[in-house]
Amino acid sequence: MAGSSKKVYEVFVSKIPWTLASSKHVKNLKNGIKVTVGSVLLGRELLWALATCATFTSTSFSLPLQQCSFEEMKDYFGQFGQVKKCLVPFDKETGFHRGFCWIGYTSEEGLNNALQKDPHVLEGSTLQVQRNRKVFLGQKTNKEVVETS
Amino acid sequence: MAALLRSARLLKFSPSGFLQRTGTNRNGPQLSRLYSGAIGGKGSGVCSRQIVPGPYSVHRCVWPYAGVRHYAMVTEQRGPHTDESSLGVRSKQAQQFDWALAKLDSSVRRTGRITKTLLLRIFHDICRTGYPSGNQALLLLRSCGSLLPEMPLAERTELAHRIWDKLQELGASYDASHYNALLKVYLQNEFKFSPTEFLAKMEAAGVQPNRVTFQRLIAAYCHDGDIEGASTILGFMKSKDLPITEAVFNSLVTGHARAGDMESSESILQVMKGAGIEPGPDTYVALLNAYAERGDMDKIKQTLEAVENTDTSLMDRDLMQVVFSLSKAGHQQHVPEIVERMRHERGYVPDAMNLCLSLITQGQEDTAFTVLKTFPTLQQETQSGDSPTLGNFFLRHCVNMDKPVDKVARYCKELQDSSYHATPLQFTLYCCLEAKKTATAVEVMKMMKEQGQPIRPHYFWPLLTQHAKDQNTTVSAPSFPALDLSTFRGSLIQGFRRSDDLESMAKITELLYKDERFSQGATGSAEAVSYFLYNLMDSMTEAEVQAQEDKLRQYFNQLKSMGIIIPGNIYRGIRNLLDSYHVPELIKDVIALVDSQEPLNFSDNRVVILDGKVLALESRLAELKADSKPVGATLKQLILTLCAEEKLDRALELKKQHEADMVAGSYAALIHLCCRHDNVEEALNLKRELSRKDSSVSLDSSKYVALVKVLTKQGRLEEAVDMLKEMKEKEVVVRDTTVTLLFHVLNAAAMKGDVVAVRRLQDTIFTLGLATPTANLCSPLVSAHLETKDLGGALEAAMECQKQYGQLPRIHDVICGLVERGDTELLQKAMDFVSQERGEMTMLYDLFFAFMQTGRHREARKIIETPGLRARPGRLQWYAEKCINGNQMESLESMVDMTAKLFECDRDELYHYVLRLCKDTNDWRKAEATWTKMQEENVIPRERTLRILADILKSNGQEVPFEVPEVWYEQAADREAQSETKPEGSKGKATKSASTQAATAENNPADYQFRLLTLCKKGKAKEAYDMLKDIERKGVTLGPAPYDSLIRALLAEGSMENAMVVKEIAVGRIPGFKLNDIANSLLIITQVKRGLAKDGMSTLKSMLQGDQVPSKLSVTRLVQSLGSHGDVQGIQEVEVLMKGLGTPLNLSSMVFLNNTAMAHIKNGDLDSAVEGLEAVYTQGDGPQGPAASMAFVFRKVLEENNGAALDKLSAMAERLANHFSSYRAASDLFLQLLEANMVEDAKFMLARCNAVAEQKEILVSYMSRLAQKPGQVGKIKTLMTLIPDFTEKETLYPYLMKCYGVDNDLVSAKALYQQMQTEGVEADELCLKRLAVLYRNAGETVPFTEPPETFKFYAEKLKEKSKGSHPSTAVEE
Repeated sequence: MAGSSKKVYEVFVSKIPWTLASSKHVKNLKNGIKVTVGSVLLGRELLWALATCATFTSTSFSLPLQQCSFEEMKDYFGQFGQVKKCLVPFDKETGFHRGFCWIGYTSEEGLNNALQKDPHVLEGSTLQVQRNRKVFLGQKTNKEVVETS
Repeated sequence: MAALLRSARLLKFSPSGFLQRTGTNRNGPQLSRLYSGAIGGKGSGVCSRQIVPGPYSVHRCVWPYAGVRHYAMVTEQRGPHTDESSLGVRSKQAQQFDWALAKLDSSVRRTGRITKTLLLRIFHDICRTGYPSGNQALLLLRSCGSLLPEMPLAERTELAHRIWDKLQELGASYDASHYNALLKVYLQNEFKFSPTEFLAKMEAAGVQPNRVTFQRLIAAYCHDGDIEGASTILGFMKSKDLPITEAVFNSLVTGHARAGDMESSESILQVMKGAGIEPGPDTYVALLNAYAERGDMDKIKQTLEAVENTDTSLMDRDLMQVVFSLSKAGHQQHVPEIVERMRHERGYVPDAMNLCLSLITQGQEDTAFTVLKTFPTLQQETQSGDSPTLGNFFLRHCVNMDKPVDKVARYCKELQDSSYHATPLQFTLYCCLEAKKTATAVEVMKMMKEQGQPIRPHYFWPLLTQHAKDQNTTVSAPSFPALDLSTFRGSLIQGFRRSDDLESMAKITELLYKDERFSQGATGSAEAVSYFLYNLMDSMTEAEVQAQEDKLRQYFNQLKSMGIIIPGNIYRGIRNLLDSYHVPELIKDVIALVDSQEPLNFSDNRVVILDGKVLALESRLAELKADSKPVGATLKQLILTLCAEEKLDRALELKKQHEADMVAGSYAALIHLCCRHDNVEEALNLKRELSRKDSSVSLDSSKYVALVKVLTKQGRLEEAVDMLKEMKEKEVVVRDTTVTLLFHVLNAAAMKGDVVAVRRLQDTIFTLGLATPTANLCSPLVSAHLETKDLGGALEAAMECQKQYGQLPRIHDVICGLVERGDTELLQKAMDFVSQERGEMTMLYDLFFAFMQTGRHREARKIIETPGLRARPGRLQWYAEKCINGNQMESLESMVDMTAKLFECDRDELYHYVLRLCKDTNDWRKAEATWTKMQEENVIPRERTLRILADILKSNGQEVPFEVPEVWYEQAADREAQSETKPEGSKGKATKSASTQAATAENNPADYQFRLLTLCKKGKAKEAYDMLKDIERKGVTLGPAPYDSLIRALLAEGSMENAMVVKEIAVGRIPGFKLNDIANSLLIITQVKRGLAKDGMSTLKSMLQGDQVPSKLSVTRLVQSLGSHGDVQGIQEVEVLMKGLGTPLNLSSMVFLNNTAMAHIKNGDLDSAVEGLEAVYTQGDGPQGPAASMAFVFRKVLEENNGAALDKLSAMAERLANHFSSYRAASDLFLQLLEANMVEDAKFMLARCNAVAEQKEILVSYMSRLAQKPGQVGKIKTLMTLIPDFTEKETLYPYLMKCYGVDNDLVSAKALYQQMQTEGVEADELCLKRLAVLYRNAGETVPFTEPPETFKFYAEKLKEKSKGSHPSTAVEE
């Protein structure tokens, strides 16, 4: 990742169906299940459900990540150019992702390709894809924090 | 507001039927075909579905918000500690009411319902601020009924009771309106209660029941079929001479039916007719419901047919009630038949949704599904071609209400099979997950699996979150926009521009002037108020100033009488503004405000009395002439003076004497004067003379228009036209005032009925393009016809204007004329035309107002009740103002009455108009009746409505039956007065006069107070403290303000003990004295500074308990202190407390995270520290997630030289960078290393994660911060050596230059400039300016031209330039 060109070409994607996972999902899920399997808190029904849903019946609940649809998201947008960043904000309150994400391409070409395609359909839902207007979350807002904290 | 009265009521529009239908002939012979007959069949809908922003748009919320922000920087600003917060309490409440109302209203408006969450949140917020006002209580209570279709009935009533008790506990006082609202809620929730007990309760509370109370109690009895009970109350009402309204009869219909006596029920309609009351839609609905409860379809059909033959019409929502009754009574089988009858009027969907929700809630989901299937699929088309998702709301509510899974599955299947919904199961699962219904979710997943849909692991995550240990619940609290003083001024100005309430305007201004809170800092209060005046004038448009000239004059005069003084320079500013607005007449009113001791230049003093001036000038002229010196200037002055005095003859004579010395200005003045005096010949002569003298000179527009006017007046039309043409040729500048003048020219001709002249001039003006055709400019043509009573001509003219210029002037007057004359044919023509050009809605309003205007109220009602018509606040206001100005109560009242059911009609607004007129006529009886009517209609009054009502009642010596919201400025004024009156004086409200006669003797409290405040303001807290002790020894009590100021001054100095002594004194003197928000915040900071974090914590808690809001800084300091004490739990506690705040402080969550990490580090628990921080970056959620900075932690760790922690943290930063592409932490660490001068470590850091070098924005922002302090060049240079190309030279060099400037290092600066020139980097003006200053400071000459403007100017310029392209490189000055 390091050493690539400085500028990132970003699109903003919204209306992502909830059935797609975010990368945080994957990470949290791994941790979460590890943490909670032994715990009483999890509840019998849920444990049972985890066990009965055949896609992941294997004994240890090691979840098959290849099925993780987050990759689908990256794959899908990867067809337009090399994806450098794919960030799907996750709402830890609800456990759902927030329905939008940023896809960063390494080249302007990737960005333009993605913008030219219409409609973007994933999992039967039409995604809304537009050029990212705002500066990426990461960089702008925090002068104040730096000073006050 | 409007929408709160009832749920959304949108209907299909059928104006055509309305116009064509012939009906009963009771409205006058010719016109009947126009306005009888109610509605047609299914006309095409014309109302667009836009959401009209209500009349309470955002500006009403922009009101001084009790902010503590200004005082955050305690150490910096030692000036007068003003406290906006206290004056803000009331206004905050008003603002909050508006906010809550807007929130609820928009919900009702969009969906016809409110969600429980929203209501609870608003309830919570209102509780938090304390002292709920009467209308807030009403708003909440009102919302606990049928507006909550998703809540079971019993729960709703329970909530209503909870709200009732809680608000009472918080000090809300209840009046009849509240009891009535509670009754309504009982009725809507079918709550069983004892009416007699209810009455007893009211009596015990000392609240008089009114007509509405009785009406609703009757309804309650009738609900239970208790006719006897109803009759008792009815008898009581009769004995009290209270009118029996339609609502009572409607209740009786229900009552008899429920008592099992359908015959009596049906006969009520006859009784009504006998009593002269026509049965309305509600009557029929009551009857239909009665049949529905018996499942009597035949009768229902009969009744429906019967209704069709009457004037009334039933809407879909009425039929929905029948559906509901059928279903509840177990006659679902008949539902489809009723559903079929619905016309799917506009707004059907939200209404039907609410019906479905209610049905589901009350266990009738199957009926609900029947209704759902009738939804027009049309709705889908709007959803941008996505797969269909009809029924989402249905599925979600089924899940929430725990409906059996197999039932839901059946619905899903049916929805999917009939292509209403593409993925119903998936959506149901989503709802289950969202609502954490684990069991249902699992069932649904099983079904999905059966259907072969994938079940993904992450679907379980939402269920797992609730088990997650560190659950972090954030309730997204509502945020108000933060306001500062200048915004406050801005909103005041806005208010002023609209307000007609001169008295309040003047009062507010006086407050600005006298209250030192508004004049913090160095500037005096005179300055503050005069800037305010200047801004006020500046913000008004020319047209506004002209239109409000009188108002402004009175305002200025009032200010004068209040002794408000403005400085000369401001006067000059205002004068220039007024000049440019062409309202020089106001200047003399402003000049009166200037301090008489301040000398003004003679030339400024343009409006001073001219006495003796003429004489003086004449003698001066003679003198000059005698000395054969040039007299031009004096001559001009003299002529202007004479013109101002309207002495035409003398001026002309003078002109003759000094022909040769005349200048253009003198001619112009003379020409204008001639025109005013109708001396057109002379004016033309002068004009010719002028052009002979100097053909290049042209007159200005006002002179030209004056000429046009006088020429037209004398019938010399062609010459007038030529004059206009000449204006065009000479390219005379046309201003707004010119257009107004042109209008007056046209109007003058119109008033004489001179159609030809008007037309000719108008055409010329428009074709020449001298003015754009506005409605105003077009109107004279119509006026001219109206003047000659030629309605046909007037209509033609108006239509012509519409066709030619898109304006429809004076159409109201034309239509009124036609209605009055009864000319159906022309009226039809006019209506067709308006409807075609402006839409049917406009046409209907035009017709409505015409009927209202001509007193044909019955016809007007028919129009306004046209289904589908919606409120147009602007037009309603127009007519209301007309009524108020013309003192037409009857007309106004009937308009208010007629619009009761108008869609989106702001009822409070309309009743406010009535009350305004009541106030004008001082008619308290009418006002009181209006108040009762408002309750009947469930209107929740805004504060201003209550206030005006209270005013009327009070000024007539009547008791005010409710709590009156106070106005903050009155309060402030009162307090001021109080503090100036004698200490042992009455506790009651001090009168205003008291403040004026405050004694001036030495040693009186006012004097002490003043001295004390002055000392505090000057930062001499110690002296002030000594003085207070002295005062205390003398046993004198002061007002709360000086104690408060002193405490804050002491705290600002850090003398906590002394501050506490003062507090004790104050508490002893003034019962109930409390430290205010600011003082308490300061106290926290002081405590924290002394290392007393625990004490700070308890201060914070007690503040929050007292509903005070701590400052951001105080919380930050407290958290930092807790962090350095290793108190993790304390930090968590503060975080939770902060989340409970109704109005969030916008504290960065990093404050808590970073300090929690610090606390962990302090406790030696490095793993927890790292874990907490890492989560911020890996979970990338929330607006701050990836944006947050942990530089604070790095800095602290570096400062403390904590090697172990540093290692852990840097490992984390690298991990984040390399595994998660999150570079913020690494960059922060890198920069902190640089900052700590650990260059080698920084270099390693960079080597290990070189992506840091790409974080341009962070690096540049670091540089920009460095450049603000002296002696930081070294660090920038180090950064440059480590990352040579971290930014462009164009960005880098200016910052370097800034550093050199700050360091006063001319040598380096010179070298840099040299380098820039050789490298071809262009130095911007700011750079050059900096360099130039360096040169000058060193006493050297600047080798280039120094940019003339200020630093600020260039900085702004650069900012402008860089906006958009490089946001981060904006120059920070």
